[in-house]
Amino acid sequence: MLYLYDSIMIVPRLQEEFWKVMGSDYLPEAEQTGLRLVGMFMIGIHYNENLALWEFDDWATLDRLQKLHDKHPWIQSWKRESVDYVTDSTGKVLQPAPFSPTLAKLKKGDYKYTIYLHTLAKVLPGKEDEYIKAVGKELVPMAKSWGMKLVGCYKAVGGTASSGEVINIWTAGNVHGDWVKIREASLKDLAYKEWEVKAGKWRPKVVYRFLYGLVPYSPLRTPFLPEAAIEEVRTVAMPEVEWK
Amino acid sequence: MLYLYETTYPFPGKMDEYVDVMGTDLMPGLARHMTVLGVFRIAFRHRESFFLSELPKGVDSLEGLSNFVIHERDGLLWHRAGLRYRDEWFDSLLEGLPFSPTAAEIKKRQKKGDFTGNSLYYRLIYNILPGKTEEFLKAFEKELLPLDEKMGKKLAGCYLWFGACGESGEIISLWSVKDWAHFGKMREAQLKDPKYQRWMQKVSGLCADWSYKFLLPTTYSLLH
Repeated sequence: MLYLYDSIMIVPRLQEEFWKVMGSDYLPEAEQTGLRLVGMFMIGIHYNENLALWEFDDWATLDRLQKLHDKHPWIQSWKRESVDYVTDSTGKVLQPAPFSPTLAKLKKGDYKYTIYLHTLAKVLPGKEDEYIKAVGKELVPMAKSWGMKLVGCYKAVGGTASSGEVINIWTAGNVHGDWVKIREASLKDLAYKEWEVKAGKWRPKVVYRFLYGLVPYSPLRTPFLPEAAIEEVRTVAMPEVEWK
Repeated sequence: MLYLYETTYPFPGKMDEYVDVMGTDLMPGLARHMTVLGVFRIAFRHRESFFLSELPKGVDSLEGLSNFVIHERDGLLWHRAGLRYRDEWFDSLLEGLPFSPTAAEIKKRQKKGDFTGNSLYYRLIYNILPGKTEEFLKAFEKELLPLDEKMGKKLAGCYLWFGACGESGEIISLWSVKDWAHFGKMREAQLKDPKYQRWMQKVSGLCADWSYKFLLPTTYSLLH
């Protein structure tokens, strides 16, 4: 299993409209190539940045995706349409850790939250696997006791990326107050203090961001959107493309 | 041998048109002064393209480029036309390492099937620790290059920054692979190969880090 991590810069104020047209005009075609949307998020503290995370089975999916982007007439239309909404995007290919939940597991489990925590660790060369193993063995159970569930643990292996990039995504509650409680619990946890000292030797730097799950058709999203809203959003733009 | 390395940022939605126009309006003029090795879009990147050219040997090398940009009609026209498609671009110079194939060698090897029919290249930039460059390059040539070429990757270029551009300690390498499926297969095979594991251990002690970008060759790119 592999993941495509697409960081998208959106024209300010057009975000919700972009989510709608992406859901109606791009998502169905992308899914035809074998991509499966795991999450579409707004990034906290940098609100015109979005993250689309896709799951796919093998490397050959990327060849199909590239062909789709180069040759499919609908995608040519989508590329012209998306100019109104997207100012830039950068993608990486991620390899999941053995303990990282798949989309199927995420869909079955209780992973619908409004807030997710995204961490990007810059791990020293040659230490990635050791670090990832320790995340699974030590940090995941520890974080569970504070109220955080692991959504994904990945290392960057292709696209535009640097060596040693390890990305973790965690559930982090539904209101910021939930996050405050999680944080307080972590700060009181002696094991976490020990973990930070230990992990600091593998990864001197970690960048933290919030992800907001507000997109109705995203499997990882707030539980407060009723299921019916998914259909509503998916059909909003459909009359525009019914000429097919 | 010197190389011109240009990164360009076309406007959103203009990437395909920009690389097409480069092919018709820029390449013929540049071909008078240099051998354009590769023109690429960056994979999963909305607005970034990259091109690499080999400059002729000798003092005329940079003069030809300057003439094209400053005095020649098609060069001046391109300079204005290009502004319709891009807002930023950066040029730098690279120096080829002794084991890096030249344009003539690439053309020769294309007859044997290398550097042709690929839909994917990747550029790997190593950030070498101070004082380790010589050791790294020796290991790169003697250990990594045979391993990777045996797997089916081909080294299309390996360079140092030349003069007043780039960053100290950086080595830029450019590799061809057939496609993503091929890259995935090679990656899996390498991860199981003890020789490759030894290389990874060694390179981890010689580099602060490395970064990569995956490149999609245009239809008219010499490296394709």
